[in-house]
Amino acid sequence: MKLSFIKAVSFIAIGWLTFILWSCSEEIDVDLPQPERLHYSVEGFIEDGQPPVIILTKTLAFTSMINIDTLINRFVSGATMYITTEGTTYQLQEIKVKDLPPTIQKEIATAFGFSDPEPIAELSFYTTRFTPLPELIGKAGNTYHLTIITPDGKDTLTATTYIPARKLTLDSLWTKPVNDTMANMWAIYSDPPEIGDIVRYYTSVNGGPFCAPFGGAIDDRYFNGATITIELDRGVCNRQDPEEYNPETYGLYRIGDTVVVKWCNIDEYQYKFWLTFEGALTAIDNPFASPVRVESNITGGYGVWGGSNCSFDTIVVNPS
Amino acid sequence: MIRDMQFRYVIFKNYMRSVALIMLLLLGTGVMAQEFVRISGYVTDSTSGEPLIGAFVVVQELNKSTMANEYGYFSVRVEKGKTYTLTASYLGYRQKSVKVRADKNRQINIELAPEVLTIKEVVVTANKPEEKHVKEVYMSKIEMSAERLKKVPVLFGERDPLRTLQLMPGVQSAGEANTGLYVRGGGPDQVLTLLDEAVVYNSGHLMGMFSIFNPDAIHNVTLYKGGIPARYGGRLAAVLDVRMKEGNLKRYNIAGGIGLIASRLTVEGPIVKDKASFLITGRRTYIDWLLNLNKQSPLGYYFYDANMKVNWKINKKNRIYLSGYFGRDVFRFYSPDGSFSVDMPWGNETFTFRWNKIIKEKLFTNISLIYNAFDSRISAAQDQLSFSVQSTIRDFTFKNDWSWFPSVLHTVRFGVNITYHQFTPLAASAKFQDIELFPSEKKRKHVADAAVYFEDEWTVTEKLSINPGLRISWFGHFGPYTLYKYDALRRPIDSTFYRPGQLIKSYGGIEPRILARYQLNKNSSIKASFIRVIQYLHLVSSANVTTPFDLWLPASVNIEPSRGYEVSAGYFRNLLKGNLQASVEVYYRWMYNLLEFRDNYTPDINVDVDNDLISGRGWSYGAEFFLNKGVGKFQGWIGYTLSWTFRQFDALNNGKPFPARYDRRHDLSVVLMYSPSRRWDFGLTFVYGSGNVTTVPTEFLFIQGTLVPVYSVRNNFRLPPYHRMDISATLKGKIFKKVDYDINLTIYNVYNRKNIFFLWLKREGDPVNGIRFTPMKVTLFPIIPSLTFNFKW
Repeated sequence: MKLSFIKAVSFIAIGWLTFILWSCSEEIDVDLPQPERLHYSVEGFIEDGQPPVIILTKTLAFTSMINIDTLINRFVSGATMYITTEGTTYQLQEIKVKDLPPTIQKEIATAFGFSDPEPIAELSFYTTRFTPLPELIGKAGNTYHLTIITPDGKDTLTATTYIPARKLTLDSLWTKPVNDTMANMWAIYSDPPEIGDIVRYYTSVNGGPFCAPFGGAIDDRYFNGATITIELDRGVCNRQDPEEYNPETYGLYRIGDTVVVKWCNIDEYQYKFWLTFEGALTAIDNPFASPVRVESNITGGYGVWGGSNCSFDTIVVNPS
Repeated sequence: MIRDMQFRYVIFKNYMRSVALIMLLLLGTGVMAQEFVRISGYVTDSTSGEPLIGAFVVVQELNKSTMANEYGYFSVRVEKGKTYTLTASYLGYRQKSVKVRADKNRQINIELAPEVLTIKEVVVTANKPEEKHVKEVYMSKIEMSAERLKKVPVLFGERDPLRTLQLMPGVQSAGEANTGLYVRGGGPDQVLTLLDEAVVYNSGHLMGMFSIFNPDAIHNVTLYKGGIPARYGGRLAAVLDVRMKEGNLKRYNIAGGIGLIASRLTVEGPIVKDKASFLITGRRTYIDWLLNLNKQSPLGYYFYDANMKVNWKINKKNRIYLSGYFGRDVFRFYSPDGSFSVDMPWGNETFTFRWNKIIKEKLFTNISLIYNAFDSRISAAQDQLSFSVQSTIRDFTFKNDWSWFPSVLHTVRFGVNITYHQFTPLAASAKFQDIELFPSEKKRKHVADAAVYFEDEWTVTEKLSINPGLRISWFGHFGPYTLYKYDALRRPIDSTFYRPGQLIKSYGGIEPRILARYQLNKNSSIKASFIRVIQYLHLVSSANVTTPFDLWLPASVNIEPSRGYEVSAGYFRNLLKGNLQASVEVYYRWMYNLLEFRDNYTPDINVDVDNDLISGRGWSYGAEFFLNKGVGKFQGWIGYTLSWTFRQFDALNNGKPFPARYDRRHDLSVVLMYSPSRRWDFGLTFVYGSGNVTTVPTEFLFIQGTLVPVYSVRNNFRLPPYHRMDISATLKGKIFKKVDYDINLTIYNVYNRKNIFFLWLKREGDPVNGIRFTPMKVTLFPIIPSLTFNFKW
């Protein structure tokens, strides 16, 4: 009798506490502020042995609904771009997706969440490959100054990066099953004695695009000079795709997958950019997160101009 | 050892003698002794013997007034041979007049009876307690008696001095149900919070939802929201001086309360009647017990606190006190399978030893030895990995304050204050199996600050009173300490070691203060003040509300102390024969070297956090309107504040000024209390405030096929206004003839207003099908009825 009374009281008390402490989240009708002007954003990379690739977009003002047409319209066509290195200036040319080889078109479409490249055929980027202009190929140790003049000629964006030496490479790579169908991947690498080595890794599964996981950029402040064993999560290109990004299986590989790990030494500008970019993504949809400002090395705009030096390792995920 | 103690005693005795001798020389006692004598003593509560801090004492025949000091002591010099009428008054107490024959130096105790009692023998004179409102030189000062706190409706029926102070003009809360004080545009670290003179670094339980001040242990609360006198220092915005009860000298009492969240118990009484007494109080929440009643819950939270105090009147001239506080919040999570656990304890502790000594009737001194500490820890363990991050502060203070009453026209205070602080921010450790991982060096900081002050409450003419004051403060950062230099990615590239005791950096400054009051007529006066203040310790927070895991950091090589200036002026008036007090105050405040974390700060245990701070300036201005009725069946107040508060940091918001997060244009509080009979009290509060400012994105980057918000302008959006009404009813009675009880019903947020706690953007969809961003609001408390039972035996 006493016990049931205590139970009844506790049920009431817990119910009452749940009622009062329950935080209620609901829609609110407010007009959020609009920007004084929109800005340009750069997504530009140059790798050792590869030509530069630069995407120029314009930011988007806050609006309640954003569709694919709105997003495609953000790509800026008609800009003038130069890269200066070792006293030589190279001009970049605009290329549309539709002008690329079909396999690359498909990769880009997948990264945008489309099975077919048609909706993104008119998207453009800037490079020195596939053009009649002299081709610039990235070289470790070189510095690259980027200049962008916007189509209306009103804005000039500038940035500088360098391609670091390939000091960090994977010593070994293996997989370990977690159940009958899935496995995780592990690697060992040795950090050089001097501080300041940074990597970011990407994974490509069964010939798909290279995608980076959360926390894929790592610096050596906590383990400078040590030999490190780390788990390599499977990368995610489209975080909105529930099939690709499933919290239950995040980071895991299917047994039988062929995985290529792209292991890139990167410069510190890129590192800061990726760190804050991921922080900002995590903050979206999280009511308790503080706003994160994505750091940028672009003067006159947002985004990143980064240099990388990558090595590639291939492994088949096996069941034992 | 004994020799060493003797040596120290001799030094101490000589120090006391020297100060007393200087004062006696200044007094010129030899010249005046034949014509003047002293009437001095204490103003106390007639039921408990508690001193009444700041009680107003008027010498009727001279039409001159003085105030009892922090220990209830007063002293006036009068002509020998005459008879004088001394009238003492204090808010919430019946005023009392006593006639004293000044044939020799006399020490008297004036005992005031609480208003709730009928004391027939009280001599009622024309002077009302409200006289203090226009007559005292202090402005921007709020006093709150424990009695008044009982009548104001509050969340969960848990009476709280800080929550009630938030209803005063110029004082704001940090947000829904938060007890943090934001005073005249200053942050929560700019309020010096003292409990029996010990500094309290975190005054909130349950993330600030309750204050650490148990109402049953509190005797008096005074808030200086501006015009801070020279005896206080170390914070820019305000001083909250909380004094604990001394313990009833006359009879034993047991009091307590049972509420829905917490219960309280207090025991107090005489150890030797009228000579020595004690007080012990305790309070604990039982959310964790309730959660565990049916089955073991993985989640647990509770807080408890305890206050204790002993005081002993050794003789007429000496009295000692020993008081302490210990409080703890504990949050725990243990996953049912035992694979994951989190422990988060935090809390304050303070110990104060005080010795009051009356050197001469006109010279009063107090020596305090104080220890206070605050610590917070987060420990987590998963499988074989565990980590812990802890921050601690330890303070040891010596304080000596003197009150000198050379004549009825002067009350002079002077003193010295020396504190040694030990700060250990973010001491981290991690373990995998039995292996220590990433052991981080404890970046402990040893700092000391010292100050001397002097102030004189001087009645210049019948109409003009001033309180000029000067505080000279000094701060030093000492070794052992290793100062690192870092590269752009916060990696150490160079270091300098400082040996123990070696001075690394010092700061100091002069802090002039002046307060003035000019009485226009019997019922009105104007007051003005100017102060300069220096703050050597700072609280930096990365969240929008104060949490126990915010960091207190001292000034250092990288951090300069904050400096502030404030000018304020006001018009004070008594209306309706003193039954109503009205005031209008305007202020302007400038603040320099304010600290914030740099953009995108994330804690890094290997980097001295000093390197992640940026400094800037702030300014605030406003007007405060206050109408108060403190007597009669119907009491209450209306406060309205119109204010602006800005910040400017070169490294934030592109260097442009932005509104501070506690910038609130309008702030209105209405508090009504009605006591129709001895059995019933009714209360109502209504608050209205402009919404807080917050940062929302104005544009989005389209990068890596996803949208990323851009926060280019700080605090660029003002949330909808906040308003709420609470009501309460209290039924009082007696059981078993000797036990007083009351049952309090409080309804918080009567009309169930869904006030916004914070705003966030919900994202739905994908680029193919369209992305939708929806502004969402989080609300905390709907309508909440609560019942509390209190008793006193």
